[in-house]
Amino acid sequence: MTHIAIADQTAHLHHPKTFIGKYIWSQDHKVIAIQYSVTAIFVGLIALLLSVLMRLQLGFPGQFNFITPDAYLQFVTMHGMIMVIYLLTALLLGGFGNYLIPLMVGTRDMVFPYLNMLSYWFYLVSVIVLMSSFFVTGGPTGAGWTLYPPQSILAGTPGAGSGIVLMLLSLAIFIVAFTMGGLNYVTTIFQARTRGMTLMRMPLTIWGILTATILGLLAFPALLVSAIMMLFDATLGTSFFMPAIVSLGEPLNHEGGSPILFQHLFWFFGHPEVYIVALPAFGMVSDVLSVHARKNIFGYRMMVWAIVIIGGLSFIVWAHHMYVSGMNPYFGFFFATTTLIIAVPTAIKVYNWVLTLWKGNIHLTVPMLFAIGFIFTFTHGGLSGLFLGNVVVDLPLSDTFFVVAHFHMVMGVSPIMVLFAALYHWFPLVSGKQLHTGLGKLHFWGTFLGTYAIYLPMHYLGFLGVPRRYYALGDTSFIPESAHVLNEDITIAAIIVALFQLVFVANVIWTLRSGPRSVRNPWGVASLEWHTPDVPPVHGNWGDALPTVHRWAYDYSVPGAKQDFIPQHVAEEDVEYEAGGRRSGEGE
Amino acid sequence: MSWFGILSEKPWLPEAQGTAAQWGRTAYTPAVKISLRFLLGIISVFFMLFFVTFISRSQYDDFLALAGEPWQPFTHSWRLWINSGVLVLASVAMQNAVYALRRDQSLRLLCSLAAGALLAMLFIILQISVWQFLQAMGYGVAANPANSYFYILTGLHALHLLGGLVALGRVVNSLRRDGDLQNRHAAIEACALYWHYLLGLWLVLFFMLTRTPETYALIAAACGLG
Amino acid sequence: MVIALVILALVVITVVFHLYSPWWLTPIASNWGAIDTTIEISFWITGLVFIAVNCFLAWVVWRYKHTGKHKAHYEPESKKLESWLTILTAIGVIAMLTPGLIAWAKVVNVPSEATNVEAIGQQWQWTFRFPGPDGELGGADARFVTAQNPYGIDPEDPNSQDDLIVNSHQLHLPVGKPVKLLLRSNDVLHNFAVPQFRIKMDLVPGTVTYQWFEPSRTGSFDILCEELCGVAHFTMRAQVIIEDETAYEQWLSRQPSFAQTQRNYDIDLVAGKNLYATCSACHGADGGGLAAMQAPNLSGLESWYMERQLRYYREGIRGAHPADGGGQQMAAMARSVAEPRDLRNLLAYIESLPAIAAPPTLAGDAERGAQVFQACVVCHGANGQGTRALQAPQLAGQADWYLHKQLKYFSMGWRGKHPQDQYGSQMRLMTRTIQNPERLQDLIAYIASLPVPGHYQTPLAEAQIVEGTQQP
Repeated sequence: MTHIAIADQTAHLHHPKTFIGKYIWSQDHKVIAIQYSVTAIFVGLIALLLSVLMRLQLGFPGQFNFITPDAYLQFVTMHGMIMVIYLLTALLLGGFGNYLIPLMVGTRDMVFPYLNMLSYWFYLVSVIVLMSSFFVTGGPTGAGWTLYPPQSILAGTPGAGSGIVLMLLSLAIFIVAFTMGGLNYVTTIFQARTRGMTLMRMPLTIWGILTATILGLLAFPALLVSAIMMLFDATLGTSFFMPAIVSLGEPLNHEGGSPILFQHLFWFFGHPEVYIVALPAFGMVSDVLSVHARKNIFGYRMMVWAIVIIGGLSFIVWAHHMYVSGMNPYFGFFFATTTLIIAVPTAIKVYNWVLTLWKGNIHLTVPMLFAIGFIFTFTHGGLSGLFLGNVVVDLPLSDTFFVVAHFHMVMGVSPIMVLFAALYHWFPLVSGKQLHTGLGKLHFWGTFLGTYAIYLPMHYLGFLGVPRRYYALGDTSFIPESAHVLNEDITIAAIIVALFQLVFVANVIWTLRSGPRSVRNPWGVASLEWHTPDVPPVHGNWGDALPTVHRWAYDYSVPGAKQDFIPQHVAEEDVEYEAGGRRSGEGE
Repeated sequence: MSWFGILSEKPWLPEAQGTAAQWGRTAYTPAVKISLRFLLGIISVFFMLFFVTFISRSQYDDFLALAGEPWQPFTHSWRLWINSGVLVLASVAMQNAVYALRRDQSLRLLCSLAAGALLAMLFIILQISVWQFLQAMGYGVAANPANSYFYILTGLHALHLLGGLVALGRVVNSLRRDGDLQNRHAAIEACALYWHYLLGLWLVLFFMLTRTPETYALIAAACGLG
Repeated sequence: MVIALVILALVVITVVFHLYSPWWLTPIASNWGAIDTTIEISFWITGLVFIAVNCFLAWVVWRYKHTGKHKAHYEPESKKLESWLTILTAIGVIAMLTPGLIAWAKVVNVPSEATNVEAIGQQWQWTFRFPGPDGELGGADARFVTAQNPYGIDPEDPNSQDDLIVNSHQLHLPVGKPVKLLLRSNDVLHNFAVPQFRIKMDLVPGTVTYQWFEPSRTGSFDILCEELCGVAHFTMRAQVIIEDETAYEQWLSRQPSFAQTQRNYDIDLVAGKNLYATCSACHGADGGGLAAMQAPNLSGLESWYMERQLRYYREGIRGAHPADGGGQQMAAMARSVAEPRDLRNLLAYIESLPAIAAPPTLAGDAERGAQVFQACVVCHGANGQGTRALQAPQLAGQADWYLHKQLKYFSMGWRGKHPQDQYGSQMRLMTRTIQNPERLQDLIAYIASLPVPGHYQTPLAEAQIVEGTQQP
């Protein structure tokens, strides 16, 4: 299964000498990972700012001159698209995937370092193209992040001219970047693991990233197909998604196209995309929980199976986003059933996370706080998904703030909790310095409590029936005055949460400049990435010889062992046991 | 071991004595080949999705197939047969390169690679001439969904071929630099496989794009898309 | 330790918030009680899981916090526990899914006795169509759309001739009768949602979608578009009024048939000119308006717009607010032309007057106003020329004091607040983009700087006028 020859190819490693070669045109997976992360976090901050602007309009309508209906829709659209694709996907796979895969499976680099570098540069180009749409006439597209035609390419929608074209181009470039990176991740995980690293000995982080990458490789083509066809519709006048219509009183030249076809293609990508974000987060949070509870992950096999099953099922649930789209209503039976089935493996993951803590030895470090926060927010978000997945309940709730609250809990707040857990957890490995704990805790409390204050009440606006994507609610008989007050409060909470993110930025800057050096492996982690000869790891990762793996990544608090964790590369005969404590095949 | 067997391993059990020695090189599959297989899978998904939309679109009233009646461009599609022939030759040349590689014949290798690349370029040029032929007949890209699909799918196929040419260029370039044929074995075999794949893809496209309305109706019914 | 308490507190807060939230499902007004039941079942199940998992989490964190005194347990997995949890979860899922699917089967199967009603969505307005006495809706397609046939109904189809056109955003339906709504759009995606009915379905151009319901109580309910349909999406609203059978029948009998809306009338411009004599006292012989008399510029306005406004005045939809003095005056005048034929002649005459620009009277920064005007462009056109398809009148050339006053009225709710004034309520929402008096001044100054276009006439209208004048 594993091929040491591939893992250990030093001949292919570039060893550049210049600064530019080392840090700009670098082929080292760790540098590329940092490039990916910094870019993603930067655009993420822009998207955060956009969300504040959009909340300002919802909370205090008519108070801000520059937020016109056009601008509001543009903020909504760009916030959504940036967060889902350019921040979460890029940071989780391009950032963490790049950094952790070679270190966790024990190889010197990705199998195709040059392709890996290209992947980052394509990603950067896609970001630049996307950002350039802020500066063209008409501004960026305001069609909502789902970009549904016909409206997205017609006058009457902001950015219907160049904005949407730039958006589609940027997505196409991103998909090329993702495919280059994804091929690398998958091949590296399958072909370049070190000696003894069987698939079932891989940390769950790698399982999450692997499954998410395969999902991405198979799902992004659907987005690419729809983007190409829409580009043709928008620029060359074809009729893939455009039926015969009258736009603002003018008949158009299109005929016969199907807007629902776009939605099918979009969600055939869009639903797996949810898991492209969620699965790496599931994996990383499992590792963080296990390490900081000093206990093996509970039900490792079930966790792996759940990841694989969720990944598989995610391809047959897409139309639950389209219950009220006008598609054949009989599809509702099938998609409601598959959607609710997916709740079972997901619930098992939640149980196993809590059971990992059960009887553990819980160190309430900053990463652990974020991980516990994640369990809470994910439980909440997952359970509200059961409402929306159940086709008939979706009728009153779809297109309301309930949907907004649900998906922000489940794929906004929850993955971000994991991202922060992971950033605090792996920061000492990447930089050799540990982030300040006090500031970290402050950041955690602000983020955790603040986001819950935003999204818990938002669900109830949805029950009331308040529609999403409304520039102003105006006077509608069923919306009481108190709902407007609630909107104000939500906006204030959102601003507070945004400000708390500055604490994190400040913490990173302060730590990098003047923070104390961290001890080696400060959390006592058993998986390979913390056991490189140099910390932070240098180019080539492993010095003279690759490690040999003798155990899974979760040997914490092994009965009888002297140390409370046994690193993966320590052979059974080298483990120090207390007198008479040698274990024998427990767990049977 | 089967996937089922792998996934039901219990990794926390201590390893049996001597297992560590087993891990090492088993059947060696070069990384290039593995990732090429993944890539071909992705490209197949990509075109499959196009086909699904194409077949369902073909059942709309306004869809005018490109073949069937005497005046339609591909009722007698000799142009496309010529193009197919060129692409077959390109594929043969690439396969010849693989044979040359196995017998360590440098000159034959280089000539075959050059022939494969040139024939691929010729194919792209001929495809462009088909587009011009269609334009001249008044079959513009937006005139009918059948035309739109023809341009989009042949265009994307040509783009993939261009991508292959870039990759082949890199491989040949590194051949020149190292002069070591064996090191590039896997890369050249991968290029050949990619050429064969694109030939196969082209034949499928050729078949799909030049059917009569009756055939589309049959295909759609068979796929449940009618 | 704190985190355990906080998690526990959050569980309590969530439950309390849920129990005492003033924001909750609107009181149901249709037959879809099964949806509410499914929501309730889902709440019980998910609520129990939420409380159980998080309380257990809090307890675990509190109980197994690192103290230095204990070591973690080593337990790779427990098949028994995991199997039990899987089975329990599956049971919970089935308990939610079953009632959901049973209810969905009812949603999907429309009862045969349901009346067909068509809802037509167009950026950003709602209109409705009822099958006439023949009980059949005629065909329709976006390709049939013309100025006179704005909803794209097939003019050749015999079934469509007697269809009743509700040229208003107020839909009346009888209580206790099942209705099948056929949803059709001529431009982009829209969505027909009424929170109290628990219904929601997209309108997809190129096809007709449907949903059905049975109103269970009388009252007036908001219809909202809930699929993003462009800049003015948030203004695309309508109402459905549920009333008893007799009131509904009366209302329905007042709606014109499609054939009636398509009829071309003979126009008598001379008669129109005579009728205009009354108006000219304030609006001037050339229709240019008089600031001193509070009379706006009528030249350049199209008859469809003036007709609607006169109807609004007549029916007390506009000019009823005490603050709108000029409007009250106009309401009295409007009642003097109630005869449809007089109205047609009068409006045709005004439309035939050459467009003249009213002189500017207010100062403002036109350059800054151009930015404010961006919000108006989609409907009123880049040059303020108006767009009939969007029911937006011409602004260019209109008296600036008048526009200023009307925009103020809209923002104060003195105009456009009447439930039947669909476009007025859109304007009320759009005036939110103006925000302060300075920006209003700038906007008005910009509109005053726009060139006055040549008088816009559809070829059809010209033909009618020629025909009319030839009459003896």
